[in-house]
Amino acid sequence: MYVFLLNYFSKTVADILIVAWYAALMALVYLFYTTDVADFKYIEL
Amino acid sequence: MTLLSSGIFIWFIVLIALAWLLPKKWQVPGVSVLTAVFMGFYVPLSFFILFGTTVITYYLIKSGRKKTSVMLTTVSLISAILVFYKIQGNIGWFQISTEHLIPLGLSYYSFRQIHYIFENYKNKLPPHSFLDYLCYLFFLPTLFIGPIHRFPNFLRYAKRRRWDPVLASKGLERILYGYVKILFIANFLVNELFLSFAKEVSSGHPFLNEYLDATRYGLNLYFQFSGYSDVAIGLSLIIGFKIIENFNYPFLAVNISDFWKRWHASLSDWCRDYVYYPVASATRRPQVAIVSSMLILGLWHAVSFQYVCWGLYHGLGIACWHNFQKIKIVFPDITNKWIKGFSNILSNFITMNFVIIGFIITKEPDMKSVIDIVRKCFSFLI
Repeated sequence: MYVFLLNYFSKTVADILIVAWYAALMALVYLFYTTDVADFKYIEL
Repeated sequence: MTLLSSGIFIWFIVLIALAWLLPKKWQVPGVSVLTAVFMGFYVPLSFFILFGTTVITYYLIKSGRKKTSVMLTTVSLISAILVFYKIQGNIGWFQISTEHLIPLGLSYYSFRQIHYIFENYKNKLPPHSFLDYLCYLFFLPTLFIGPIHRFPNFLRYAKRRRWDPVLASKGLERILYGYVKILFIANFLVNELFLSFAKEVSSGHPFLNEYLDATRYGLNLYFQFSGYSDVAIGLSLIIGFKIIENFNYPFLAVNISDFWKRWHASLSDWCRDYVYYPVASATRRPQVAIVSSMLILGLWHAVSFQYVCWGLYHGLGIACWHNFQKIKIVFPDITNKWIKGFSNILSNFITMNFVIIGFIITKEPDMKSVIDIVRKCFSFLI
């Protein structure tokens, strides 16, 4: 992802964007975190 | 305990620590010991099955007896254990809610063992010890949900691996993407937003209702399964192993054969190598080999009539597509890029609808419900 951003933006902008990108993804995981996911029977636990 | 429980992260951290902080020659065995402890702690039955079959298959193979009979015996043993537990799960000898219904990872490590036995039979395995084989099977990142990675590739990385921050950061990124797919895309977008949208637009239209529900089921399956694969691949990268990819944008496939190269590719590759090629070379009939390999692929998911139908459905689909390719060559090639683009979109649309209709067979609890749905969908014709 970072390499992709460096192709289009300067290093400073790419640094800011990559931090924002990961922060946004981690926020999504945090906000929607649950162990109660819809049935997925390939997990054999 | 599931892959989403917070407790699992403690195991992941210990795994990464063991993989890099132990003395070099104990790092990979350390990962395997942790895997064994994990299995012993949560699913001791699976530990005993895996350890027992690993010891038996390895020493039977190395016993120097007649190769073909040993190969057939060991493959039959592994297959019998797998089928035994799969059948138990389906005919309800145990309650469905039992946590240890199908031992953890049995489907995956059974196919890895069969791969090892076949490759050994073909003399295609690199020199290795029992410990290498043990480490290959007791590998925590891929134990839950694959991919069904191959022994030579595992051994190459086990010997060459060294700490690489770029690889580790790629691994962390994959794990993050995996959890976003499972928790946000599959669980929220697909199973909440898409589901409520589908219910709203399809009320009073049984065909549309079933079609959208099958689409939701397929999307959920893809995002969850590929999310878990991302976690497995990411964790492997952090500890220095590059594992084969399992998914490559399957919903962009332009034909059903292409779809199976993109969806659960490690299983498709396994079926190609160990079912399709042997059957094709024995019968000289590629169509029979295609249907056989898709049948095994279906039965791998569950030993049930539904999955037999699902495997046959896809097998016949691929066989028809191969026949169509033979007819297609009499037509001139499309050179116009607009027509080619439209043709690709149309091919993708047909392929996806074929796959989505196939999901109706597997998403229902039994075959009677599948027939009821088909009847309901086409009630306007009667």
